[in-house]
Amino acid sequence: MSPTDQIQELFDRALSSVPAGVAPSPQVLHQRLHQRRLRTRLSTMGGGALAIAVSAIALFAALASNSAYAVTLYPSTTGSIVTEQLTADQRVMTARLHAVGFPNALVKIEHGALVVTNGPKDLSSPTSYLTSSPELLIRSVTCYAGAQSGPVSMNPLPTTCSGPQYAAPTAPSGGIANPGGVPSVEPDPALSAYSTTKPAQDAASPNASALLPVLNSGAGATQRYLVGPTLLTLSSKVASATVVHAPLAGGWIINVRLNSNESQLWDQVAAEYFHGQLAIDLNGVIVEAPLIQPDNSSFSSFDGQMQLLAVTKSGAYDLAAALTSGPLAVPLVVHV
Amino acid sequence: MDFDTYYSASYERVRRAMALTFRDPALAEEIAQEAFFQTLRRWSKVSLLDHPEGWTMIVALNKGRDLHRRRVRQEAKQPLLIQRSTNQSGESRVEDQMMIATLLEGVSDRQREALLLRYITQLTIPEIAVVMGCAEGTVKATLHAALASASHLAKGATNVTD
Repeated sequence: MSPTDQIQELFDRALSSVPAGVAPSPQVLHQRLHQRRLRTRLSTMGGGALAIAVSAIALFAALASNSAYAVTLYPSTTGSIVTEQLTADQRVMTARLHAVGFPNALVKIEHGALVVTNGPKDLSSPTSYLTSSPELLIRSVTCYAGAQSGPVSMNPLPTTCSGPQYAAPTAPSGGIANPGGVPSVEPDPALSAYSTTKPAQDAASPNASALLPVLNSGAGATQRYLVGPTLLTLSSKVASATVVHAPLAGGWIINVRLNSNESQLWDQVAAEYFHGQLAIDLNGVIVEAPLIQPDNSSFSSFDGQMQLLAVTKSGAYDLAAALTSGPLAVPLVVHV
Repeated sequence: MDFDTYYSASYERVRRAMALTFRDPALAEEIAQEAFFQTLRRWSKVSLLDHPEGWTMIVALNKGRDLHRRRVRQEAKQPLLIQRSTNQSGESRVEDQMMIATLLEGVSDRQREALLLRYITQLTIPEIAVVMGCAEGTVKATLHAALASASHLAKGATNVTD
């Protein structure tokens, strides 16, 4: 095989090994072009006419399209809502929108709901962190599992691995050979028959074992962990959270600093599982699963620090904003 | 060919090429979308080209270079300390990607364009010359230089296959 053919083969293999993505609809590009052309046309008009036209276009777009010019957030509870709760949500939501770079976003209370204008488009996503009060559940990792395959088992989820060889890794006392890595452990084949625990189930039964997907485990190579009951629940109010781009980790890292009380609790759990693996469960997805200080001979405090992973930049900033601004007084659901 | 058909056929290839070049799936997605948006803006002209994908690929590379530089500068200010669990099963897959990424990182901008057009878009030398706006001889020399610097990778590829 000639060097050229070898290079071609290498390119083909590398190209096919890049995880598959989902191409956004071309309609999105058409819409963007349409809006751009409208703006270009408007820019030729005079100043006063331009201001009026832009306002009219924005108003029209808000009313006529699904874009995020105006998003209405309704309280998702069936109980009665008092004005103070909505006012608190208005304050929290305004802080979140400003934190994610929308200083002109307006949050108004209208007819028992919050109406957001000039906010980010992803606010209309039902999975947006901005409209939730995320809680971080710390759980122990019991064993690894691959994707669900074959007939789904109706039996209760096991609480242990089917064999000791499948147990989650622990660091040897002398540290591991490749610092920063985690000893390799095969997925437990007995778990492939069980379906993944849904976020609603996970939220309803935090003290039960759960089979949760690992964020960014890769398309076609779904990775799940069997995790034990929740050891610690961290509130959605942290001292600080900063976002760092981490291509090698497959997304964006949120560096979280916990409040002093929760920092102590986090240290207690981490010390108990020193050299073991813990999972950080956010809304039914494992966003990080660190092996606790595998290279250390004795436990040292994390000083309230924790790292979380998000796949997209906007998701990372939304999560950081939601964690630093505190929980919503009333949960919200989106109506665009 | 209308734009939507072209987009469906080419988007994934351009996105993957950018993911290999810049080692960042999120960035690759952003670059690919921007490149296809620019393609749509000029579709009346680009659609007349023999190989519109070559044009989109060059736009994506230029856009990617700008974004990548900006992000590298940002990241340099915030050193990352992270310890994550990794899935060991995808090792050879990652090696292929790393080899190509290293190859693409170690060559000049023009060489990178030529490599992507040749080995991912599958254009011939005369076609690459049209897209890059240079002589065929220049394309051959550019590819030769790029492959010379990558010859050790080709040997490595054989080992990986073994």
